[in-house]
Amino acid sequence: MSSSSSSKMIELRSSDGETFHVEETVVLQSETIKQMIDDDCANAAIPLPNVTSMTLAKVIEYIKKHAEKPKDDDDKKVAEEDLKKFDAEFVKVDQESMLFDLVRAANYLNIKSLLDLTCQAVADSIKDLSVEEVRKKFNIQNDFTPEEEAKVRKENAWAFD
Amino acid sequence: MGANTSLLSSDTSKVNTNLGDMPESCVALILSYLEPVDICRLARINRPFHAASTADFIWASKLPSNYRKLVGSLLVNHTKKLGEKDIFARLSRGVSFDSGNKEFWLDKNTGGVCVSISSKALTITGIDDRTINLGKSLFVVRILEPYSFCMKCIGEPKFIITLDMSYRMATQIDFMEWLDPDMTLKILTYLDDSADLIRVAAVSRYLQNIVISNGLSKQLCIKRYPQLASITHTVESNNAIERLEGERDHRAYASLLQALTIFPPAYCIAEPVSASSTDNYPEESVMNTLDPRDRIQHRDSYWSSKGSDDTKTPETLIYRLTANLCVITEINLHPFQALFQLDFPIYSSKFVRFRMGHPKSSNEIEYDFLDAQECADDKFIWTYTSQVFPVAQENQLQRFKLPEPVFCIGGYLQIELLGRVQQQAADGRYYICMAHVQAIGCRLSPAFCVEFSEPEPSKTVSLKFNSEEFVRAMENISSGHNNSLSTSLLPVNAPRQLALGNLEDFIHMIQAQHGGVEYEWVGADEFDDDDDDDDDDDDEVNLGFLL
Repeated sequence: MSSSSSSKMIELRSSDGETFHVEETVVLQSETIKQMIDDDCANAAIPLPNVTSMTLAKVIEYIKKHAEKPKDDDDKKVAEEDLKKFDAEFVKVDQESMLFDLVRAANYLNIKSLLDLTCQAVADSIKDLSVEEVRKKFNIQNDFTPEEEAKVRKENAWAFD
Repeated sequence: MGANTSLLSSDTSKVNTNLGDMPESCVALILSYLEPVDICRLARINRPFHAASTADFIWASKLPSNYRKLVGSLLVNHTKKLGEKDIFARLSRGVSFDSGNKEFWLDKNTGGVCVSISSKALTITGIDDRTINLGKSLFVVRILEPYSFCMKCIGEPKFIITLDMSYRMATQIDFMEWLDPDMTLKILTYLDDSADLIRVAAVSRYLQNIVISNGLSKQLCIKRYPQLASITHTVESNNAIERLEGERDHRAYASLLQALTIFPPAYCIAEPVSASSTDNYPEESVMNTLDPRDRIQHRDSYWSSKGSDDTKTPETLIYRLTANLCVITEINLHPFQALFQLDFPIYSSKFVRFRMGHPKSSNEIEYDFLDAQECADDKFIWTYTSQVFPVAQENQLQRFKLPEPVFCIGGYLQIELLGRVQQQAADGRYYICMAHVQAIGCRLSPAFCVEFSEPEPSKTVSLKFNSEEFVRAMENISSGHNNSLSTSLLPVNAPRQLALGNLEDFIHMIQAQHGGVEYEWVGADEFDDDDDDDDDDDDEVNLGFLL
């Protein structure tokens, strides 16, 4: 390990066995991995059993972009704008399931900014939907008994009158 | 490594992940991005959603940050410990207090704080004992987010401060104290009238403290006049009471803001300091630009640069202003038209730019740059530079209104004339001539002035506030000594004496310049006059005078 710490590479392995090499400085955005590195568990490839290669690639794209440091103040403004645009584009995924994968990955890897970003995106997508619409769109089982449902409806009635 | 063995192994990746597969903490996080009404609706989806929707952290984020205090003072008869969701539900239903004159509630959709006050409770007593009855006005104040604040007011538009004051008078609870200090500060920073700010500071010790300790009046000043950011200290000159820095700042800046709204506009140029070049001194001195008259004693009154072959050669004129702290709103230039030359050329410039600033050192500018015909440009630090304005080649006073009023800290104005448009027929060189220059703005001395540290003026700049002078100036204005802007207030040069005593000198001068060719100008004014336009092309009246 003769290379300087700035270029030290960390190996990540996704649930489907693919490996990714990412610079340590970039990957430190994940609190989970940072903890592992601090605990000296990162000498071999870090297995990420909850994250598929597709999701992991996306996560790495995100943290790489967010690791870019602007050179000077002028650059900073441009970079901030650029990052905003990137974030907006980043959550425009073809399949909603990808967004959920990202939420879970961000939660597991503990990357706060990504978790905030993706949760906000999910929240935006369920805003203004009725209960039935949400169940249908996201294929969610209604597991309430009719009595329970009436009770829940009652306790939240204040929000609807 | 053992900790990472797969609970959710690769086979789950084949099924599309969906909202229902999220861990409860993620669902709660997602819900926290929604509005209260949405959260309640989604609670009905299924059990995990219902459980997630009751998470305290979601509701704590929807409640105002001081909700515990609100619950304590408003929901006194609730002994049972309420969860955050219940508190929200309770507060959103509305709580009336102060014998039903006021009502408080949370906006269901946004969690914003709303207060409505019935017209009965809206008689306002200001610090100046002015009583305003707002009649049937209904105020609804909403603080939607820590970042936005709006107020709906049906009827007479008046600010939250008035509301706050009435509040304090009518009840013993200070409305502002209810809100946490951050929120109060946020609201106060939305006040953009200095009078409101001063009034707020007079409402209660608590509010005064917020206004003073956060330097709100200074902030307001700097927001409006960014140039003021360079001021590092305030000094109160004639005051025996030693005040704390914050209070002194507040007094000085609040008075300054008041002065700016009340002090009448005035002509602000005191005297010229230097010109980058003068063709004939003193006949064509920049001194002439102070006088609005075109002609004085039959002589044209203007400043002329030296000629240049390059149309790009710029010229600068520097003026001292009447006060070392002024707010300049517009600068007016009157290019000079040489009516004594063929085709009546107008020697305007193409563009103009203005700078304001202070001398690098007060000693250096005691020198008479005019008499020495030296340029003083490098003796100043220019802290403000305007945009470049185009100048029309017209013989009239042209107004250049600055986009925003500008604080001239230090009291010196530089006029930079860029680009030459008029060639003099006689010598083919380009000249710039100005007949008259005005700067209009608000003169703040003697109530306010600035002091620079020596020898490095940029280190400390103090704003000196003289409260006695301030009070005197305010009284003068209110008692009608209001000097409206009239040209009679412009400085007028004493008419130059060309009578007998000077006549001999004058003749000598002309002879020296023209090599004693009097005949030339007796008859043939038309084609001769341009060999030296700017020195005394006195027309026939002057000739008659000589003869």
